[in-house]
Amino acid sequence: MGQLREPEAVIAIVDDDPSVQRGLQRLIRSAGWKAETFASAQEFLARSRVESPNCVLLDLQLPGLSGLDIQKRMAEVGLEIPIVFLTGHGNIPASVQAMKAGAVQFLTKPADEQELLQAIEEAVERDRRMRQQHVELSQLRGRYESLTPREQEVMQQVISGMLNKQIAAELNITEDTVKFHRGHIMRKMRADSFADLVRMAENLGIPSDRRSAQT
Amino acid sequence: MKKAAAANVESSERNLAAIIDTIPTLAWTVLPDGSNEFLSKQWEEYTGLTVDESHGWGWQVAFHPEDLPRVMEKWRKMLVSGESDEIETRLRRHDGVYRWFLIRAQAFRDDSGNIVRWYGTSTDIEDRKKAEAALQASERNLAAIINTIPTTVWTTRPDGYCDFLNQVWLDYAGMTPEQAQGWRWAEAIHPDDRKKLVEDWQACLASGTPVDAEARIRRFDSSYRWFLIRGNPLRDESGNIVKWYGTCVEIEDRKRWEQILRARELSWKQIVDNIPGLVATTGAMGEVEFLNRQTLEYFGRTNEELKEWALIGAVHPDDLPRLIEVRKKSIETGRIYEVEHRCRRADGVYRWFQVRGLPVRDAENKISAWYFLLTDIEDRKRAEEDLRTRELEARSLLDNMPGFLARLSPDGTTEIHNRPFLQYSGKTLDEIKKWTTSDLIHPDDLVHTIEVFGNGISSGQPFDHEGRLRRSDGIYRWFQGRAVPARNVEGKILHWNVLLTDIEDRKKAEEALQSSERNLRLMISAIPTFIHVLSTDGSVLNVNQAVLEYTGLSLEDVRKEDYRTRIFHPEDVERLREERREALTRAVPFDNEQRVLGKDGKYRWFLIRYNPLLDEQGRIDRWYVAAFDVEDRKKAEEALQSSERNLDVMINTIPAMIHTARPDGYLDYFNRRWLEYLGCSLVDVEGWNWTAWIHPDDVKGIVDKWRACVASGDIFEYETRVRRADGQYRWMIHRKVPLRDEHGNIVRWYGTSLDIEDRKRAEAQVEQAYLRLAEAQRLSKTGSFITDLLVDDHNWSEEAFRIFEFDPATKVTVQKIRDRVHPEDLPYFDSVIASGMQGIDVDFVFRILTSLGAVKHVHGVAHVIEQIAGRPLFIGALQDVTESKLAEEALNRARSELAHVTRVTTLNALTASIAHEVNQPLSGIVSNASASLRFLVGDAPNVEEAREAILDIVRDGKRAGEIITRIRALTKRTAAPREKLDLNETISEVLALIGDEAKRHSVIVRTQFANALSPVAGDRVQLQQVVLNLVMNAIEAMSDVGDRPRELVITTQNVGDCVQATVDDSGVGIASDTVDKIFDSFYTTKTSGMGMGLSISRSILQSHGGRLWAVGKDAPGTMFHFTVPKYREEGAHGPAT
Repeated sequence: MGQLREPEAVIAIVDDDPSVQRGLQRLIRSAGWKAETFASAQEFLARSRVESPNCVLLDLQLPGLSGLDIQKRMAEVGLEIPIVFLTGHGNIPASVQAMKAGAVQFLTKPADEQELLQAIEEAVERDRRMRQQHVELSQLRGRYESLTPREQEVMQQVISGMLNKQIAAELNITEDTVKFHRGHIMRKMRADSFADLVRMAENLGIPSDRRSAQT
Repeated sequence: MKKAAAANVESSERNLAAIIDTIPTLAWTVLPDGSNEFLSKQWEEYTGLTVDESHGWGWQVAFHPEDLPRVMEKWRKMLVSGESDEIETRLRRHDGVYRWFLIRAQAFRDDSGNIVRWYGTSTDIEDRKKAEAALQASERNLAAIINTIPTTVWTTRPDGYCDFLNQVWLDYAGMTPEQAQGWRWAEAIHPDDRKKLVEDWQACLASGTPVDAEARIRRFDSSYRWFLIRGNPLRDESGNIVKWYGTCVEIEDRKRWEQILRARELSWKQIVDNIPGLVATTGAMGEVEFLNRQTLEYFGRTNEELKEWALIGAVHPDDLPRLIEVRKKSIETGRIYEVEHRCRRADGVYRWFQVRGLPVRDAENKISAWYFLLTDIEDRKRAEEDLRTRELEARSLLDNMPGFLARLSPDGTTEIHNRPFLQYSGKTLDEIKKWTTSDLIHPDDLVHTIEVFGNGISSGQPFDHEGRLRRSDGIYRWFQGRAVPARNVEGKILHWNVLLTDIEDRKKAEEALQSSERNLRLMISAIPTFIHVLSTDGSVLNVNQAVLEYTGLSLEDVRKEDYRTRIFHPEDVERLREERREALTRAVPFDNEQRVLGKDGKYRWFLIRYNPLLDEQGRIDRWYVAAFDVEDRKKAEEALQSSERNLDVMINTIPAMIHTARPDGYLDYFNRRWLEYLGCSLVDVEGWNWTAWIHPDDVKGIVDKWRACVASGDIFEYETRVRRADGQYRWMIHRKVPLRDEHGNIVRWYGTSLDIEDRKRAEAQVEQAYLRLAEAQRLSKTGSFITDLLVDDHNWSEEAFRIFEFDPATKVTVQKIRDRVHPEDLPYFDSVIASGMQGIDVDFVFRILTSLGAVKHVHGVAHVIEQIAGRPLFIGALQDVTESKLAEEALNRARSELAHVTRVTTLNALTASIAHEVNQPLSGIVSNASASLRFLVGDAPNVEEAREAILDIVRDGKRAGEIITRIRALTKRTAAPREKLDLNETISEVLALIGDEAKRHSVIVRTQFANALSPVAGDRVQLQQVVLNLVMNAIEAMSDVGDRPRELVITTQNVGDCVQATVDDSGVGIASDTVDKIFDSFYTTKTSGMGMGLSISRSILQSHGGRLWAVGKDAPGTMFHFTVPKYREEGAHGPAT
């Protein structure tokens, strides 16, 4: 208790009950995080677009949209903030749905302090990892963008498991060239191995079907 | 030679002379004629006489004159006889002193035998003589002594021959010396002792050991006395016994003492040996000397063995160390030694003994010996233990008995009190001991108690006493104490046993009885009637004071056999004898009249009533007899009888039907008119026969009434149908009036009868009409009354009486009515009466309490019909509306119950929402609390944050609390009184409850409360129920709405003398034709629910004096309005119902 966690991690609290808001806010502050409170989904979504918090404590019952709706909406708009549900009405279907939809934790009010803080920590960690992944992915994308169109083409063929010969035949270039391109690709993509490359391609969402590759 | 011979002769002569002159004797010669021839020189020297003077007969002068005659006499005889002889005489010495001489003379004869000369000596025997004399003297003394000393003295020769017995002996034995000397003294010895004595004596003679023997010697009077005979031998220098000297000392007394002592010793010895105790004596240091037989037998050892008692296990090993210690100490200090220890019996069993050792001191007060007594206390010890056990048992019995027991010492000091007593009094034993000065005994009883107690203790007789004892809580209760002394076999009191029994209740009963007895006695003594109590045979058991005073007799006299004949008039005694005797056998009251003799000597008439007292089996136990002085009455009667005759004539003349009756109801006279009317004679109707002329249906009535009047003496009045001579029954009214004497006793009844047939007919009609009316009243439960209120005169119908449950004979008064009115309605009743007093018509409802405590609701109206002398006369009706009231109340209760159920049901439905509502603040509390803890931990605690967190906690806590409170209020059953309410507040409270519910249904709740909303009078819970109902309905109505916002608006405003609230929703709305139906019971459009909500809500508002209605509107949705009357001061809200 009292250890400083990730400095300046911001936890969003979405609950329309002032007692609950104040309590949670104080608790989060006591744990060393920053808290921001919102009384409705709209307020929260609006703010999150500007600057997204590291974690959100979400009540199920809110005026207008319910908590689950917000979860869905966030997913739709690509807000990947980890959610910890904190609600007065716990029922199993809701909790299952929430967890399936990717919530970090589903807690009922009044929540055990330890459980709550732990969940928030987990969420913040997840958020940190996600942000990290995003960074990595954009870097990866950058590297891919740096490939020439031909190189991109070749890469696609390569990851589909085609042999150099086959690629050469397909693209009407020499095998040597293929190898040449391959080397460039490996280097530019900074792949250590073929498997690595395949993984990167997966991450980038490059299709790896062999349909186009098979004759 | 002859010269030599002559010389020899001469020298021998000279020698001879020398010898003669030297020898210590006076030598002389005398011629045959007696004259002196020669005298030795000694003579001259001694006597101082010269030879010349002494020659011839001159020597005579030297002889003592007293002796001379004797000498001369003897000399002459000698001269004549010529025989030698001697004589003692005194011769004068030269200094004049005479001395004894022994003179011897011997004749010298010649050959022819003729005396030539006499030769003689005179030897000085003065010393010898003196010695002789002394000896004689001393012999005489000795003899005197010997004969005087109180001891018998004897001497014997060496062979035992007794040669001397002193006078004492001889006097004692009554013997002469001759009789006793030699061996003859033995005859004086007792035959039984003789042989032994003689043997012993002879043995001593032989052995020379001193004699020491005892024997009885015969006294001069032939009695025998014991003597100690002692004899010592006198030995010469060779050791041969020359004589025996002895004494006989009388030891008779000593001997007797000895025998006694021996006997005593024997008996002592027997005692010592036989006492049931082990006796032992030891020396000063404790060494065993003597052990009696018992001791030896007990230990089964010998005296020798027991000397080492400490070593042979005679004492129990466990007791030995202690015993030795005590003994040592005892011997050192010389104190009495007392110890208990176990001694080993011969058979090996150990038994407890108590050992007491006393030191014996000699003349110098030094301890010379110890005497020990060992007493077997085994049984006693066991008994002690038993006693202890029994005592404990007794103690526990004592303590657990339901009575108070105490034991006192013979002088009355409290020793023990059992536990119940100590518990009762709450005092300790010590406190109880001081009872004479404490508050244990009631102050009023204390002095007397001390007295009785003192007397009882000193008398030694059982005694008892009653007194009040103080209980631990201060209350005094009566106790009876009984003290009984316990005595030992000799009758000496060992202690007192006291038992105290609580007699409070008995005392109380006694007192009650006594006081009632007193009362009874007073009563009996006071009443001026003469009371006797008789036994079943008629003899007197008791009489009251009045009897004794009147008759001047004593109670004894009264009880005597001749009492009756004494006090009653002989004629009456005779007259009533049989009758009385017979009547006494029947268990039926009877009476008679007799004359009683007073102490003034006059007779007076008494009416004597006998009443039997029966036991449970109905047998006569005794008779109670009361006698009433009827003398005056009797006199009056007589006077009357005479005047009666006069009257008779009169009566038969006047034109009225007259009859008379005796005091007992016996009709004894009908006048002529009567008899003519009835068509009979007196005989037919007298007594009770007249009943035959009464209509059968009326007979019982008149007979009962008549009997009643006869008994009570009230004026008799009754109507019956009487059969006229022609056979027709006609109504008659009979009146009888009693005539009383000066004492008030009825002497006679006088009666008249009147034909009222016609009147009766008219009456009958009225009666009918009345009955019909009464019936109607009964059916309608309405009673009617006519009341003159100001004079409190009420005329009530039957039903009115029935309603009030008054006895129809009761005289109705306002007070009587008021007494029945329910206490709570009294003020109201009084105000009604007040209005009535002013002549104002009234309409009232109040409750009355019947005699059984049941409540009736009475509704009445009263209307002034006329004024009588300025007073209003009311005619009115009352109705028992209890049933309808009760029904109404039942209905209300059912409604209320239903409302409650509905409320609860609604609330139940809201449970989840309510829980959530509570959960919010709880959640806040938990979060704030956790945060506070976290802020306070660590190096730099953030107190400010914590403080603010805690403030939030308090606020949230209150919020949660309020929600709970409100719910509780709603779940309570109603019957809360009306209170002053702020409707805005009331509604808000409900909204706080349903907030979550609304949210869940996505309904937005808005309020538009009027600012200065007037307060209303209402039941908070009920009104909240209405709001709840309306709001829930609204939410429900909007639950399917999707195309527009779900909005619920609640408004309040003042409207006239009411406050109006509106619940406006944007739901599905209500069709205009059902806008009123919805308030019907059981009308619902919901799939679940009873549909009671709105109907109950409406009835709630109606009971508040308000309204509830619904209105459609242009926009989708419905508006529900309700009004509640404004709150008004001063109870203008009707009677408390």
